[in-house]
Amino acid sequence: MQTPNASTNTNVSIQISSLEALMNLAGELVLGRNQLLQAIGSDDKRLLETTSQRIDMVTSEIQEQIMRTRMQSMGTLFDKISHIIEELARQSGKQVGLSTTGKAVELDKTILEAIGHPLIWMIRKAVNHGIESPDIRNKLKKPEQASIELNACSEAGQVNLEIIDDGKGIDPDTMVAHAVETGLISEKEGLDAITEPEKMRFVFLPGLFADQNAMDGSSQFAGIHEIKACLEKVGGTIDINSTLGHGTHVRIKLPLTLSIIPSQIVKLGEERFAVPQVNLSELLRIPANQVKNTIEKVGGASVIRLRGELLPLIDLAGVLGVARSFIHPQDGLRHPERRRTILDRRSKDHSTPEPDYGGRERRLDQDRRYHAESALNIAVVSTGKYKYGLVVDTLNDAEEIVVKPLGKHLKECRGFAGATIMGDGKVALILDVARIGEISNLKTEHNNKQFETISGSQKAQGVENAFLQSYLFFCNSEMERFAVPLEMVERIEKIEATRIETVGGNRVLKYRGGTLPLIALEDAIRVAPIPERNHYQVICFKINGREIGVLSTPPIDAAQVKLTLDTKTLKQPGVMGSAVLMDKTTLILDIRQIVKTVKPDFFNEVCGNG
Amino acid sequence: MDNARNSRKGGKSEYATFFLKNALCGIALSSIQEISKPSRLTVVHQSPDYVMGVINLRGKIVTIIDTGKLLGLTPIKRSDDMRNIIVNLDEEFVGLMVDRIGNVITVEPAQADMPPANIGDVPGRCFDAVYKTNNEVVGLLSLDSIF
Repeated sequence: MQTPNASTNTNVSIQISSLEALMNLAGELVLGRNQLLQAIGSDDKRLLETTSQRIDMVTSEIQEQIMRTRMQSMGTLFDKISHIIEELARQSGKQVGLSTTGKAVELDKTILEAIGHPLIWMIRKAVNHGIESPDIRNKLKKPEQASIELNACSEAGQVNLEIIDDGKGIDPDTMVAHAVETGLISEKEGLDAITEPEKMRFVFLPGLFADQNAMDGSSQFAGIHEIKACLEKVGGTIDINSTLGHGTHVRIKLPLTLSIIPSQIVKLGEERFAVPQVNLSELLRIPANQVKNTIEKVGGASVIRLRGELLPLIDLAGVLGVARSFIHPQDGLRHPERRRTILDRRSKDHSTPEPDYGGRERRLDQDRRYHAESALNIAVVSTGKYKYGLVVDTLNDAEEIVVKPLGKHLKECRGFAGATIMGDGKVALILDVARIGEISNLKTEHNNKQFETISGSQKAQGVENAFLQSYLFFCNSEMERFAVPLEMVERIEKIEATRIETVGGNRVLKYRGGTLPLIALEDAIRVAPIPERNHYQVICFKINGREIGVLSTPPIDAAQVKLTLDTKTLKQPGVMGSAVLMDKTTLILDIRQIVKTVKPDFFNEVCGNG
Repeated sequence: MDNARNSRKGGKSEYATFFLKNALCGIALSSIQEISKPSRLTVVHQSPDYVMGVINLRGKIVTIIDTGKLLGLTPIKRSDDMRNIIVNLDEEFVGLMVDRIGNVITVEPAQADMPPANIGDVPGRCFDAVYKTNNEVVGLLSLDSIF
């Protein structure tokens, strides 16, 4: 988030009329103050009431008027773009017609300046790479003159911008295929089911267009992820829709102003902090008795499992170095926190045997860790790079706040984007969500996509085969976790249970015109059976040139881990061994052996091969 | 500061005086925006240790500095006497928290001397000049050298 003083040395031109209106309002404000002083002096309650009303009105009018002086119309930028298009068309021998609407739409000067470059960049790319030369257009039966539309309109406190061209566009499917090919998207799961707009989102994948000749139309979009970053800096969003041969439709949404932003107020003890609403995904409250079940420890960091997704948790107090404190439910006073981690709970439902305190004062049953008030409040925030849960003490209301810059002595304080003044006149700091993610990432070495864990305590037994390898994690029954080397996996499919047929005692799946044999893990190894579900995840393997699917239940995760394989404790045919990964015992499967047990025919034909 | 230098040349200038523990210091009146009683501070975590926090000064965020700590002396002790001297430092308001505020003095150029190695415990480099009144020695601080 950019603070308003970032462009102090630029000028703004104001109409005399609006300056006069401001002068007039300033006069009103002085009158209001005089009245207020008089009312306070004479202790006249009614006068006080009317005065406060008057000051209220004058204040909001002044605010509105001043905001208006910062606003500038899109006209100048549109004119500039029109010149650029003419120039580019002339140079390249193309015919381009530009139509614009919404020249009069006004936008904060800072934002207008910030979007100038991205907008021109996109127009330039559209004309140079998107729009075909007249003879090609003739062949394609498109009008010789290409058209570019530039629309602006303000709507619900936002400005919507549209750039529509009828050039060659790009094919979303080709793009997705290319992304998988180049290894930018590793997860093949569900790629068939995603919608067109979701596919188009891959256009912002950095590095997708590194090889500009890889697919048709890619040169128009090479580098677009940087444009996205530019727009996000001023709180904007961008969406692209494109059809190969028909053109591209870019939609940009921008806030009207940067200086007032909607924010969520969170509290640590008595201190308030503002989280910009643009960064906020959702708010979570984990009741005290569920904390132990929902939150897991990975390495030194806590993560929460949220709808099948692993979300790292960052303790705001820890990042800022604030001594935690709490209000004791009995005496109502503030005490320093004794819990060392947010996980430290002793709710009645999940109590562990009390340790022997060895003469020390034994804690009473009213220990706060049992108390309902120790529910965990989490603000789930996301920026371009990170998505994580921010653990705070209290979640307050959402408020519109005015962003103010911090002084130069505080420039080194990372984690704050600025400050704001709350209703009671006290200053609250605005959190810089991206920087906080950066700071704690350094501390926890915990990345959203990838987690690296080894069991330090388990080193004593078993063979140590410590090297980094990619594994796919999945479950059969919900209690047991399994892993297979990722390179064995062909793909993962989500299927409905009704699609599974039982033919001749074998489970099969009708699939792409053929049948895919299915096996469940309990058919081959001694594990709890897979529960009845509406949907299954089928992990497909290729064994000796034939495909076979293994039924599994989510969560399915892929991760690079350093494995310390224990080949003794839980070894059985089909299981190479076990390892403790992410604090959970995981069985590492020998898929070839499992298939051999259930479907010996897979090996009969090509016995002893590979 | 310019004022102090001018004072040696002949022009009179006014200084607001204040105490840092027992050392009497002065700061040019022209650089002071206002002097206020301490208002509610918001602590900024991870800030340099001489920063006490930030306050709201009529819509501006002002950084409050513990002048004692900044100069390497004992930190300011919380009391009813402590005051906040808001100074204008390069287009930005900064608050200098001091232990107690003194009188405004007019510095006669003839009585201003080059600073000694230190006054009280304050290192001499922080001062532009020292000024002797009838019974006291005032160290004239310069904003340029303390920040």
